[in-house]
Amino acid sequence: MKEKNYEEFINYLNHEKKDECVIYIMELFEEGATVRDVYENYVIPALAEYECDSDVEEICIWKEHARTSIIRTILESSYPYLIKQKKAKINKTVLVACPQLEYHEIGAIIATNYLILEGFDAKYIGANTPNEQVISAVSILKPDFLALSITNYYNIVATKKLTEKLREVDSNLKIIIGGQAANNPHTLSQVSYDFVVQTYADIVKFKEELL
Amino acid sequence: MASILSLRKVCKTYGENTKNPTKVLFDVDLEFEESSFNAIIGQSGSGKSTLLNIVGSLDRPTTGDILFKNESLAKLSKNDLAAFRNRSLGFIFQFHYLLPEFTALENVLMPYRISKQPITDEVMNRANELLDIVGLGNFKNKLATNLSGGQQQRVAIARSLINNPAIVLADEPTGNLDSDTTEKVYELLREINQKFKTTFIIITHDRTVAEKTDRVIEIKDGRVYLDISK
Ligand code: B12
Ligand SMILES: Nc1ncnc2c1ncn2[C@@H]1O[C@H](COP(=O)(O)OP(=O)(O)O)[C@@H](O)[C@H]1O
Ligand SMILES: [Mg+2]
Repeated sequence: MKEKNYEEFINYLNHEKKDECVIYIMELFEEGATVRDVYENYVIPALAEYECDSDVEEICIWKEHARTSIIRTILESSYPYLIKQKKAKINKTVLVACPQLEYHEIGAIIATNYLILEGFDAKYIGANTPNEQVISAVSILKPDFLALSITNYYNIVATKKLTEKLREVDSNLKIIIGGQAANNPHTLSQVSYDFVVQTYADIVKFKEELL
Repeated sequence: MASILSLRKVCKTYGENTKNPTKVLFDVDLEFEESSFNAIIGQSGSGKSTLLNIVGSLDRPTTGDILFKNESLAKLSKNDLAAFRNRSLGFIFQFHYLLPEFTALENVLMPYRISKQPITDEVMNRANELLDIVGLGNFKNKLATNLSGGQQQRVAIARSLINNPAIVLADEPTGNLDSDTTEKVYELLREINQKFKTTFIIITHDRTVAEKTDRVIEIKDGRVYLDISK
């Protein structure tokens, strides 16, 4: 089903036809699609493979924003299906955050939902979370894992300071790193972390190793 | 990519033979690739300017060495070092140091006057082209004092490029400019990097500038604290 359908969905998205996009995805869910299928075959490629067809920068920017906004609506609308589809609880808590000045949060939201699907007790605490607030959330909620999503590599500057501080505050905390900035091994090597997790398959493997 | 510049265990102590020597750089090892666009960040007093001055051979390291295209600079005499600087390096500072009583064009040609090299047609054409590139085509014959802060900084950028340097070193080049002008100056540097394949090493406090470079090096207490790339 996927290839042909994806073209149709993308066509709606290219024209910012929000209702059509949302109805399209809701129908997939009604037909029994899994959250993972929908995210992997529609939601993620829609953003990751986005290429602006205009040479005018302004047009590209608002088009990207419009697209992101439609995707957010789809993500929120998928939540009831996620509740139905999630696996048994495994009694592990994960706090997910984007560090200071990191505004790319779709990846973090998707990762949080994936973790929930696999039975983790995962909470997303937001984009652009100042270091002090991450530290506060960690001290109060005492999660087993803190997962940081970093897209723009410059945000590794703040992340390095954050992870150093976290090691002082809570030496038991395990730190997970995800997001595009983690794809450069040299850049990744600059921060203190315990695990790198990116895809759904990574999450499944990570879970298996825990249990 | 080939390495254009390497720092090997560079240390710097100011006032070495005085009662209070201060060590400000500790074993800095860095490698810069040809045509790369690099930012150096760090708190004030961390040693960024000291490092850039050493890289630019305006100052010598106390110990350690700099290699330019695998040639050691430590071995060069003062004169050879000056010649190397004129030939291969361009500098942009926060304060542009233009000479107010000269025009934009004359300021761009100043490195030639100072080093008493003849201003050939080729050099003159290049100066004109550079002023066009930095968007000052219509201001070539205006006195520096009659230009705005952003325009003066653009003259300084054109001046830094007159010798077609392999590397441009910039010490807070937008530190004195408003955010719109900062954005424009940055875009200009990027364009030059792409057009002439010039290597850039830019000290900046400005996140909007640093986050668009290909590599960010953070200096902390005279050491490389962080080194990341896209
Ligand atoms: C949408 C988007 C935006 C939106 C973000 C909206 C939002 N609220 O999230 C807005 C408009 C805000 C934006 C702004 C900017 N953006 Co933008 N943006 C994108 C775009 C098109 C898609 C990103 C996205 O959502 N992808 C889809 C998600 C699902 O993928 P993902 O993030 O990679 O996440 C996956 C994995 O990495 C992983 N994952 C991610 N995090 C985590 C965490 C955990 C724990 C786990 C397990 C897994 C995991 O799971 C996800 C699913 O597989 C990309 C282009 C691209 N190719 O990615 C550019 C891109 C990321 N942006 C970029 C840039 C430069 C910017 C701006 C600086 C632009 C500007 N000039 O202002 C600003 C910076 C904002 C900031 N300071 O953070 C660059 C980044 C380059 C870099 N520096 O490394 C990109 C790559 C575009 C480009 N080619 O230049 N952007
Ligand atoms: N010529 C000098 N003599 C003595 N100390 C100096 C000299 N220049 C800089 N310093 C000291 O070296 C340290 C680093 O300075 P600098 O390289 O200018 O830092 P930055 O550019 O990061 O602000 C500071 O403590 C500064 O006071
Ligand atoms: Mg300085």
